Amino acid sequence: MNELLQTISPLFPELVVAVTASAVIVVDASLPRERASAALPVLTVVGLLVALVGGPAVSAQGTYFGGYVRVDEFAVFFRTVFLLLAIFATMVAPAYLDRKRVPAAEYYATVLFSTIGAMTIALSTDLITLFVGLELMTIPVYVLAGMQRHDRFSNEAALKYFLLGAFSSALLVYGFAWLFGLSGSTRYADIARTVASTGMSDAATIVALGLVTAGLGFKAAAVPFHQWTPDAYEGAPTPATAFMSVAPKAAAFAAILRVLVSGMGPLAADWATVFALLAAVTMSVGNVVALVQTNTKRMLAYSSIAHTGYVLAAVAATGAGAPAGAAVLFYVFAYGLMNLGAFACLLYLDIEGTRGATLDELDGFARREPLGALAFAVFLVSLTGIPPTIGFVAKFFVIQPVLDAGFTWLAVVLAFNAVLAAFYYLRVVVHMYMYEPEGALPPVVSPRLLSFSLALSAAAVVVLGILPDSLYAWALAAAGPILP
Amino acid sequence: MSYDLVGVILFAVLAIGIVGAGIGVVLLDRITASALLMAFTFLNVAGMFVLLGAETIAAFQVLIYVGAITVLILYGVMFTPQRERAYALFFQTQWPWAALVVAPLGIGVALVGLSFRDRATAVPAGGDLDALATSIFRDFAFPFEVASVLLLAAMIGAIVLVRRDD
Amino acid sequence: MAVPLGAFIAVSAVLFSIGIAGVLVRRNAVVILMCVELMLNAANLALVAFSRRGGFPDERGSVFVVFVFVVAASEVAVGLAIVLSAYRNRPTVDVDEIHAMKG
Repeated sequence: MNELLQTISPLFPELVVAVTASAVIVVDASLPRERASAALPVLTVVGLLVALVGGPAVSAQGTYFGGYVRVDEFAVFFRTVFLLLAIFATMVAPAYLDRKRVPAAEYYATVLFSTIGAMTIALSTDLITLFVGLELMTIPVYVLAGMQRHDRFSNEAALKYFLLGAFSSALLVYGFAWLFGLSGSTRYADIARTVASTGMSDAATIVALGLVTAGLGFKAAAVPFHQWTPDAYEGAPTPATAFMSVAPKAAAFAAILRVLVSGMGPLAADWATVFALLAAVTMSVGNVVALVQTNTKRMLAYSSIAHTGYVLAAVAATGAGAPAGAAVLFYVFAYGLMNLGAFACLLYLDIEGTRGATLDELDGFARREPLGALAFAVFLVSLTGIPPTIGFVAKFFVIQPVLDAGFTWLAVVLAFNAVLAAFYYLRVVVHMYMYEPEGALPPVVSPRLLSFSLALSAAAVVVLGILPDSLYAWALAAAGPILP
Repeated sequence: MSYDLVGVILFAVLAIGIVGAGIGVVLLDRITASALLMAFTFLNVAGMFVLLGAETIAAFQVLIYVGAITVLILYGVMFTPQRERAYALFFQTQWPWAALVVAPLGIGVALVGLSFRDRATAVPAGGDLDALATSIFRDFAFPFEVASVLLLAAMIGAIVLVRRDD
Repeated sequence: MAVPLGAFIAVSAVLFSIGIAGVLVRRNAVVILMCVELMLNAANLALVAFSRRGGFPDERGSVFVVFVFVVAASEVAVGLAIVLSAYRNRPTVDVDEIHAMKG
């Protein structure tokens, strides 16, 4: 018994989340509907908090299962990110789920399952664990996208997301198969050794890396692998969009860091040019297309593509060492907080179907829902990258390593894009604060739990924007295992 | 010598089966025909596994792909009205050049694939079951557990998407 | 050795390309799903071939294939549920009109 506990204790957070997911389903089946809908979010959040707080205490750092599971600072950092995002995505959802008759228990359970998958990616030391974790992260998200199943936009979102997701998984597995064929192992360390000795001249290595880059590019929504993003984000139920715009992306970057950065060893410097080009195209396309959108939900979808570009710029700069890795981690954290928040602010308006508010429908929003508008404005200012918000600090941390790695042109593109993005983000703020609410506007609903969680995260965006040092120090420590 | 020849002929037959049936899946208009050809491709791949001395995997392939997955997909074909272009995806208006890009890329990758050389002196004797079992239950115990969660998640997801309203 | 490893990998690459072409060309969701399964089978073939013939100490490729089986099964189950729920909601408007708002 004692031995068993010792074996499973490193996986404490994953176990707690799995148990919570099962408990949610069981409680839903055994309670009457009204009481269940009140109890389920509480149960979910409590479970996630236990995993969040108990994780670092119970799960000691080290390698387990014959070296196939590794709990290091990197894993701990990403576990925290995923658990926080899941808590946030749970807290903003209940009122919407009730209103739209989306099955609540399954929504929470699916978010929890996806979180387990994402945490598995962070723990992995080999391709097999990574692949299974990646699938457990994505497959529930397809379901989330289609959960408002009487709405055909939701159906279409799920279908597109699923088909492109399955396609990208197949690309990824085939790339993994070739990496295995080249190195004879599925472990990152062995692959790094082999790939470093064959070098870039080997055609098979390039095929494998190309496939893996394309597969993970789809998951992170990098241009030209982004076409599923706007339709999937727009059609999915809004709380699900908020979750799927951040958690899968964070997980994709965890996978990119594990496989394509640490798993490639010295070769990563050569591959960096590919990432730099992807980054430049991704941020430019995302921002330019976002500029012409009039629907805020679709605009945020394109803007999330642009943010993928900023993170990819930091990935390209990993030649600069740990600060680049820390920039990726810090940006992923900041992006998760502010983007989930921005999507969640759309939940204040009761609009038919899954559609988001248009710019005109946000006219005078500040007068109708002052707290929500303030939170929305904070998130948008942060997404733009204006101090004193976490979004500004995150961009600042990205630019330095990009310059150090010698990608001056990329830093220029990045700065130009940040200016471009200001137009469409601040346009929303102008509509909320400067315009009179006129005509038939959708009714405003203000659930207390939504306001509470948004206030909390908006405060975090500002506080971490002013005092980023401890978070950055942690990100730096977490990047250590990836970029020594 | 004679054994080698048998192996080569078997390989050729299976390879032609895989490629031919695969092309059929893509080109045929009737969806049931595509589904059955897909099952035929899976069977040929199972044959390849036997040729490679991986009998256990071949058995799994027949059970899971030819059995479960083909049946599931046939159910899918049965329950959905056959309309092409019901949900157009972004790229499918440009299929001529999509095909033009894929063909040379595919041939290129296949040529690179040909360059892989055997490193084993002989096919390990005694099948693949022992090595498989010890690996899965010792080193890969964690992903194995995660896979079980994945199946549970998929089950719940599938139910929530298609169940009738109560 | 009768058939070299390279031949197996070449066949898997051809099957993989056929799968990609199918995903790109076909419009029906179920057929696209079939083509994705072909791509996964190509990966399985490559993994087993590398595992048996690569001269590597462990059967890691075969282990990988077992996990691909599990993933493929759950993918198909969820995928068909999504297709089914999409077709059950007969669209009242032609879907091409939905794309009119695409920017």
